[in-house]
This record gives sequence, C-alpha cells and structure tokens, in this order.
Amino acid sequence: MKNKMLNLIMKGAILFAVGFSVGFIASYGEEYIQLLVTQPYIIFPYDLLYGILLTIIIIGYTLFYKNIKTYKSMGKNHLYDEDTSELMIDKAFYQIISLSSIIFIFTFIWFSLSIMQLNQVSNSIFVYVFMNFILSGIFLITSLVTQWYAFHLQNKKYPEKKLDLLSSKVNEAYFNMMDEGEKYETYKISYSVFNKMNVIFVVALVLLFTYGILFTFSAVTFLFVGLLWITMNGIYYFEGVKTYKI
Amino acid sequence: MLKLKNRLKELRARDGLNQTQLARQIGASRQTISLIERGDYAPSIILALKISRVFRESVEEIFQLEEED
Repeated sequence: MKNKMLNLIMKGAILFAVGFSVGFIASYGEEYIQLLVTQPYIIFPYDLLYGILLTIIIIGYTLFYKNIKTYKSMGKNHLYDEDTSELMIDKAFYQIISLSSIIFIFTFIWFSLSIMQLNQVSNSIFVYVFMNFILSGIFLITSLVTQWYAFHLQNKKYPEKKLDLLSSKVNEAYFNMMDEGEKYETYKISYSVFNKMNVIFVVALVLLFTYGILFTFSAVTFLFVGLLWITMNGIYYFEGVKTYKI
Repeated sequence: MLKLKNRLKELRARDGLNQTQLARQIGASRQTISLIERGDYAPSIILALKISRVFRESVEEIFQLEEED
C-alpha cells in the first residue's frame, strides 16, 4: 500500500515535470529558450543545440550497442535458466527496436534544423553550417542503417514475425502478427500513454495560462498546445465510437 | 476482489517444459505465457483449453478464482 502510494506520487511528479517542461518551452520559447540555445554558442548560432542533440544520439547508440551485446551474449553463456534468458533477450530486442526509432527521431530533428539554418545563413559562417548539415546527413543515414539492422536482427530471431521496414504499414503488420497476450499488453500500454498524455497537456496548459495571466498573453502557443490535446482526444473519440456500430 | 490464480509454473516444471516450449505447443508467444503465469493476463477460453490439453488437466485444475488479499 505504501509502495503503491509512493509509486503514484513518483509517477505524478514525472508527469508534472514533463508537463511543466512542455508548458515552459511553449511559453518561454521565443525569449529564454532562444537565449539558452543561440546566445552561448561557440562557433556559430545553435551549435550548442546541435551538440546536445549529438550527445543524446551518442547516448542512444551506446545503449543500442549495450543491448546488442546483451542479446549476443545470452546465446553464448548459460548464467540464467532458459525462461530468464528468453525474457532478457525479448527485453533487449524491445529496447533495440525502440532505441533505433528514438535515434532516428533525434537525427531527423538535427537534419531538419541544419537544412533550415543552411537556408538562412550568412557567408561568414556558411562553412560551419554546411559541415553541420553534412554531419547531420551522415548521422541520418547511419540511423536508417541502424533501424534496418534492428529489423534484420528481429527478423532473424523471430522468423514467424518477419517485418518489412520499407512497408508503410509496418506497425499494423506487426500488431496483426501478435497473439492475444501481446495484443492485450499493447492495448494496456497505449491506454496508459493516452492517460499520461492527458495529464501532460493539462499541466502544460495550466502553465501557459498562468504565464499568460502574469506575463505576456500568447494565444498562438496556447491554441497550438490545446489543438494537439483536442486532436489526441478526437482520435480517441473516433476510434472508440467505431466499437458502437449497430 | 477476485483474482485468477494458476498452476502453470508448477505444471511446466512437472512436465519439464520451459515457457518457449509450452508457447510453441499452444501456438502462443512466450510473452503471453509469462503474462499468464504472473497473473497479469487472463487467457481466452480457447487458450485455456489448449493449455489444459497439454497438461492433461481440466481448466479448473489449472486456473482458480481466489479472493485477493
């Protein structure tokens, strides 16, 4: 009971922190984030931001490599019983697939920002911005190769659940290959994500509201966050209403 | 509140089956077996009947409803 309460408080604190961050970024986006990201640059504007993105990507690759090592070593050593080994391999695979997607998202953000900056850069820093663009491109290609490798490993380990990375319906195909227990877990996780996102949106909007009252009225950011919240609940409504078909 | 308890782990040990082998025999995933054993998932009637066939025990002998503490 005490543990449950503690767990609930921890979850609430994490959700509040994420919601606060979303609201903070949305409300202070133009002023403080700009200052934090562009002002303390070393060579060219935004280089600190690119550095942070690169650090996150490298951490992602380190964790990716660690899970690959876990997967490969599980087949060789026999430190655990078969059930535990299989559980650890499944967990490693789950992390390998998730990390490859997260790495791709970060490299995609980096690559997109570098193109946008390249489009509006002055001649004096063009070389650096262009180098940044090339580097982000290399990382984007590497992240795609990483995703391909993750899928290749998945297909090798679970031939009955072969996935086609190039297919536009890869998630749908994967879901259809799941059995009843796996589908149940996926529904449970999805609903949990939905609930947590609702809390995050509430906290973000409350913060934006407070900022609007106390400092500057900013309708666009408030509407943008609100619109995202409405969209999420709208999708939930339309998906849910399908189950009441006569 | 009622909770579904099961003897899956005990019966697997009796018949010398690991989770993967049992999963293969009933056409499910290892993860599903693990979820059932932990009491995190109540299997469908079809899956419960398949499990009972593997262990040659009735469904009621494998799965019981018990009052939760």
